[in-house]
Amino acid sequence: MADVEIRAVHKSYGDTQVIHGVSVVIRDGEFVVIVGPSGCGKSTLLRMIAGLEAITSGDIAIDGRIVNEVEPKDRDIAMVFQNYALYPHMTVAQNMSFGLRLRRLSKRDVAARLHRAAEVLQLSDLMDRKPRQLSGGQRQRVAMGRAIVRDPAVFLFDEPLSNLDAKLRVQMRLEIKKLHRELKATSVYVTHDQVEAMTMADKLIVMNEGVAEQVGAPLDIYEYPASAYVAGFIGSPAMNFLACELSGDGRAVRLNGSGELMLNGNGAATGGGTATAGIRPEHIALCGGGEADLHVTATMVEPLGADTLVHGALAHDTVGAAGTELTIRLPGIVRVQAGEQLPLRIDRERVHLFDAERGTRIN
Amino acid sequence: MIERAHWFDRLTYGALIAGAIIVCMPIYYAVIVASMPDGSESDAVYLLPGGHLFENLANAWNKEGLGRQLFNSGVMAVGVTVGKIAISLLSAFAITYFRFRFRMTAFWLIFITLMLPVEVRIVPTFEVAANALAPFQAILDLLAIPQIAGWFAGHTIDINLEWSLLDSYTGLILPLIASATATFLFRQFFLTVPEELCEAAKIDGAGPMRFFFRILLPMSTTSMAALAVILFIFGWNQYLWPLLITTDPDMTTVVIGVARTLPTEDADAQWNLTMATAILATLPPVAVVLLLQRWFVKGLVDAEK
Repeated sequence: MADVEIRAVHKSYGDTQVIHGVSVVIRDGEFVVIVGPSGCGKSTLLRMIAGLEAITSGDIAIDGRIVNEVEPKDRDIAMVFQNYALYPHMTVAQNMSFGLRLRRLSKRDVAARLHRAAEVLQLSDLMDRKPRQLSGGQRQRVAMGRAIVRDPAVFLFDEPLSNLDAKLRVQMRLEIKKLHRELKATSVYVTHDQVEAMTMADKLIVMNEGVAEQVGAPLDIYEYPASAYVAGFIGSPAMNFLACELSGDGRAVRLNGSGELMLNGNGAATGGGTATAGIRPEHIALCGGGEADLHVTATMVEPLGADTLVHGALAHDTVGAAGTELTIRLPGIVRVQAGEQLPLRIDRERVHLFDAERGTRIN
Repeated sequence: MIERAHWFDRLTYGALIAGAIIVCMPIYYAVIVASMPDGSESDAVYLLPGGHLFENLANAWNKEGLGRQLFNSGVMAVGVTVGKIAISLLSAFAITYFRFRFRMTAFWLIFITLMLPVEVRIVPTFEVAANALAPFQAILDLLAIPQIAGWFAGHTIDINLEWSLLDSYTGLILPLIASATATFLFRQFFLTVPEELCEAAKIDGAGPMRFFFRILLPMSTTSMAALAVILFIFGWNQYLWPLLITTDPDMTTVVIGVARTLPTEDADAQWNLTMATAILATLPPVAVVLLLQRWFVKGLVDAEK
């Protein structure tokens, strides 16, 4: 049980800086997910917490103790790797107990911990198997078992589910979450999958190009993304971005191809000029022709049953000849044909406004 | 490729049988000659066995020193095998898993020794083996240490370092145990071991040597066994080096023993005994191959991944 504090951490390889000063506090017992595209530095950050990667500058503290110079084994952490990293010549039991035996725990103690972990992870029948005799999901469990038996202060997960098939991934996602609820250990989980990130995290860290763009609860980030980047990354299908003009007082916008929309108290702090309006696919609805904000020509329809995704282009596009692309999520089964023109209304309270150049939020 | 034509089957079998005959012929002929009675015509060609095989084998065995020679060869071959594997495992471990200055230089230096087999460096190697401490003596002399010590002591002091490896197992084994090939092989194997395994071991609290002994070594057993077969035969078959370094008949190896049974100019050739000795000399490597062949194939194919 411990807090993890990351203070102004930088990381460079030679002249290339990959982490540009990240500061985050992870509270005791929190499940924190670091999410971002590949190459954003999320794994590097995790590996610095683990002690597998040196810190160029800044501090990382676990349970109040600065661990920059502490060996991984003395940091009271356990890590689950993407490819599991099980020792191929050892049985499941030996794999899980290797670290304990190195720490010279008594035989009885080791056996008790193994037993408990095997019980929790339903591995009891597999303890004498070698890793190559296990399925992907079972290997994943063993890797987690190896972490659990150590009873660490902090669990670190490096994209642990990305080698599993979709169904198993959903199942393991729930299991990890359940496990966390039982063990209540501080966990840091790295993934590029934003669904995993949204569903598992108590606190989400969205990283981009070596910077923590936003830190917060998943739904807060969804509802109030701090930048166009975060807004586009979190949420599936991704948010639509439309160029817009702000009214003089900032309380209304004129979208490309629309009339003026009053933003119902959701306006920008300063008015005038251009901006980027972000509208989530689920915040656009079909409406009667008279009250439409936009007209969109459907180019492709994806009926998913619970909802229907419509991909289309603005019908009265005043800027691009190709037409600004939009995705719209309509509830339930909607009979729409490709090529049809749809009158649509935007949820005014949920329009996100971003600075046109820097991408920072302005409302 | 699966080819299902009859003529093709016959062709491949024909080639296989021809190859097998070519390979087996010398061995077959050695057995034939070894079964001939004493005093047979030495330039006649025999194709059928003569019925004296076991008698000749017994004679060869009872000949002076053969048991000792086999033992010497065994010690040398095992020593070379174990030494080569141990040294190349450690050096491969060092150059793959540690980042130190001149790491690549070290690697290339090892690699370059491929160009320096014993035959090429035999004179300097013999020089060193004759007195393994000669280089240190040279350093002492260069720094004039004996003179300085003599000056302090007030009388002349002679320092003579001498450690001869001639006529010893150490001398037979040591100069042969550095192996670039084996180092290279283990390096390639270590490179295929996922990096995460090393990191997992680090988090589990294993230091470098623990990681080496508890994880890398057990994972390399198949390649080690495969290599052991090759190296054992290499060590067993050494001729030039043992010939040079041993003068004591008690230290000769069996390969030299076989060579000594060859006829000299004024003596009668006893080819049956020579061949019987050769057969006895071949048995231990054959046994090693048979014993380790399952591992050998596995190590080359590398199933365990």
